[in-house]
Amino acid sequence: MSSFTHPHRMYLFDMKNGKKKLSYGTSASDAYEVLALRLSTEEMREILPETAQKIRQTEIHQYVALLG
Amino acid sequence: MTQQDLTQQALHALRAGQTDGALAIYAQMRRLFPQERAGYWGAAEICLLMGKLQQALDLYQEMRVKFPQDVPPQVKVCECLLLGGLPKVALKEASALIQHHPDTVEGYLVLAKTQHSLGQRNTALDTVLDTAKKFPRIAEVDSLLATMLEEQGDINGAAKKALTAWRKAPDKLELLITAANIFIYAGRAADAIRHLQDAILHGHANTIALHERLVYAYTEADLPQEALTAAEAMTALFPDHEEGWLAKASALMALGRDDDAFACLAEQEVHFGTSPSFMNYFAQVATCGRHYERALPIYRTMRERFPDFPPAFLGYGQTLRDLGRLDDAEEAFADIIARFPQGDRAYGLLADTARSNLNAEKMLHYNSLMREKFNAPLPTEDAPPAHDPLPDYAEHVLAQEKGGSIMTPRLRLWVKNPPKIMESRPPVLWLDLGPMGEMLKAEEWYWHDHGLGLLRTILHQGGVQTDLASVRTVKSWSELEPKLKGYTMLCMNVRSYTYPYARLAAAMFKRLNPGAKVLVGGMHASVALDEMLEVEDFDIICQGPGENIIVDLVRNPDAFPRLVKGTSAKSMGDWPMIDRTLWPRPVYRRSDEPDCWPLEPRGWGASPVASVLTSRVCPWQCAFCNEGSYIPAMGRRPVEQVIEELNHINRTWGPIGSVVIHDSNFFQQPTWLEEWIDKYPRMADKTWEYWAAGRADTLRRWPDLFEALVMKTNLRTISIGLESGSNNMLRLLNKECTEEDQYFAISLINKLGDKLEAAGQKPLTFWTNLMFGIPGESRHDAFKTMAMLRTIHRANPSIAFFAPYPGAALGYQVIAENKSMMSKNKGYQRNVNDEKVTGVDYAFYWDMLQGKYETEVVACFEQLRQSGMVSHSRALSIMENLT
Repeated sequence: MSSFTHPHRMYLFDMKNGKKKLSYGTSASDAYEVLALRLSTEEMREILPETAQKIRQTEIHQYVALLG
Repeated sequence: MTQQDLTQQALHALRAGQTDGALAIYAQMRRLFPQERAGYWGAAEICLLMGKLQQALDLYQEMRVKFPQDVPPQVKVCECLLLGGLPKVALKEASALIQHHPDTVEGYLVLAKTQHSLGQRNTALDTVLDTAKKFPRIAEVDSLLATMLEEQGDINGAAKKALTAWRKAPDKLELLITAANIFIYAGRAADAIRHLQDAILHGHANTIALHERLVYAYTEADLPQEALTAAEAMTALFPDHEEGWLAKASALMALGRDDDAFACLAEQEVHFGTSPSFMNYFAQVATCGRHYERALPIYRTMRERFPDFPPAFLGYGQTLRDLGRLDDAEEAFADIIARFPQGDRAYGLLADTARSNLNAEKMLHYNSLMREKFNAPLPTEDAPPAHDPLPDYAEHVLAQEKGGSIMTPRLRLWVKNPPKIMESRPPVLWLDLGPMGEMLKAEEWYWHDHGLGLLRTILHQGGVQTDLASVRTVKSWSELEPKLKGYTMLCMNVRSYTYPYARLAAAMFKRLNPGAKVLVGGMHASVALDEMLEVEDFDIICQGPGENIIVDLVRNPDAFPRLVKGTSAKSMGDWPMIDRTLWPRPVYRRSDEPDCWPLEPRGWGASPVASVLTSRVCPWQCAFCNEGSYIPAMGRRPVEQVIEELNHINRTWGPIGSVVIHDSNFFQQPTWLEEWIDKYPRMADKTWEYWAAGRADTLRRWPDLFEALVMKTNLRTISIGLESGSNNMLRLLNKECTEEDQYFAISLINKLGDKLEAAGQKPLTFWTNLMFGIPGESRHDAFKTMAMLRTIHRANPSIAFFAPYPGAALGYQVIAENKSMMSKNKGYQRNVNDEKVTGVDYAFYWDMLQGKYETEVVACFEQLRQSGMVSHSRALSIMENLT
């Protein structure tokens, strides 16, 4: 029973180019793995996995301009 | 008597407003000259314009037998079927027409129109483009393409095509007029003026329609003095044509010289007083500046001179109402019902008058009469509401046949509906947005906009009356245009997929009503504020819920900044019950369905359907939606309030067939659901079957509660967005569900459906959203999803491609990565007709959806069977037996 036993959160990762990457998962590492499901190896290299910042769903709009 | 003599007689009768007389003459022509087409064609065209579809269809079909090589009647058969709400039959006829006449362009054109009617817009566009290649010189193809592009919002493309059409057939001036109209709608009135002047100067100075359009173009370009000059030139060139004088009056009104406009037409009454269209316009001019007392004697004269002309009687009644003589108005409208029993408009006016007279009982009575009367199968007389007195249309058609003056119906419509004509109307117009023409098709599904209904209800209860128009009840922007004139404010509820419509409508509204304001709100203001702010025609943008601020915004817009933050009520229980008569009314209905408005005609259960909301916002965080991020949480409506509303709907407009609880997620908050299970069967007039939404993991968490809902409250269609059968994709979409959750839900729904079926009851159906084209999705992921679909017994799948919507987490991210192929100008559509994200192999998906990967899907299905994850699946049982 996923969402009740393993709730997900939103995470922002810093990128080497100064932008941010938005993802989600049960933890920061899980969120990082979710990105790897669709991004290429080159794209993943741009992301700094240790910089994960947890945010609320209602806050995602504040960061739209920073996404890349 | 020759056929020519009879034709002249018929034309004369039409000019005098005697359509029945003209039809009799054509009948005589058919008797005397049965081998000539004119008697059939003329009569059929008149019947068509009068809305007598069945009679028109019969005549065209007779022509088809008598003159099998004559293509136009066969085209008209298709068009009649389309108008009559039978697009599938029309499609068959169009296909047969092409088969028998593959080298005539008309068949392809009507095929494209039929496909368009069936909602197959992209297919229709492809047909037109293929036809353009096959018939590169035919102007009508470019003209149809222009219409389709106009509807899609590509106004500049439409204008270009319309001009191309005219250049191919420069003698067909209606094509130039179409191009001029589109230029005007695109805000390029100067281009329209240039082309029209050019045509007038080079050989077409005697075509009155061009002059008339030129006057209009000057008005739209905010050059009222030039418009007056052009109108005066018209009256000098064509003193015996009413159009010039009507155009002059309109130009005078654009200059604010209402009294001069009235005087101009009063002077000409002696010459044109026998023309219903002239007198009708004269009366409308008289009402400008609220001079209703000037209009009343004109309408009285019209009633005497034109006893068969409904606008004379309608105008008379409306003027009495505007003078505050409500009892006299009621009597006048009742007189209309006696004289014109086939029309339903008078019933609506009676209901409105009763409402103004604060007589709710009478209002309900007239609404009820209207519903009863028009319960019958769709008669031909109940076709589109008459835009114009019929003789003018018929005259136009016959004049075209004879190569006479061209006066398009659209042109006449403009001439009869000048600016500032309806000052008695509320100053505020609410525009319902949605796919253009959606409510014109009798077969179409549509849903009412609850946001619009709620806000209009709040406004009306707050003493601010509003009018309503709808993009969904017109075929084109040119048809919408007259409905936008004469208001000081336009309100719109803008969603992402209606954003292009909102932009165009605002621009058109501003051109038609200089100085007026446009107030917008809706989801798109929350998810893509920058796109709303960049539209200069949006004067006030309300971001967030508008229910607590709408009355003040509309009453005093100047007191607010451009961007306003709305605040919501704490609970949906604080909202007033929506006045459902404030929703738009569809134009057509199916002939085998009663008029059920304001209920919706069809849904997943029995018709008619009542759609309600019990909660707002799904609090989960699926990455393709995230509505919880931009819609504030609100308290759910009390159970008893929902039931009370359903009972009210049933008793006022019912009987209800079924219900759609249109919550994003109904199956949440167990305490509320338990109360629903207890009270709904006891307190509702009937335990109507209903459609509602849930999630796979909540079904797994509360299976007994779900079973109780199904078995005790008649839940008969459960909607769950399964989206994918692959754990990887479920993670990527942030569904917070696993494959195991999905299969548990499928097993439970299958089991309950079988149980109901075994007991002789209607089984539970599973409506599920499935998503393909997710960035990162492998082919194997897609096969697993297809295999999952096959485990569902009673599946009703809705298949879409992942669409990167602004506002959703994954949408934002894909847009930021420059991978989105969606255009804000074309709307954010998730259908499978076109590509949404770069790097996705859409050709694979289209092939898969056509069954080209059956082997792979079956292999996944076999894996499912071996895993034992799904029980109660007949399909898997069959496979087990086979192995």
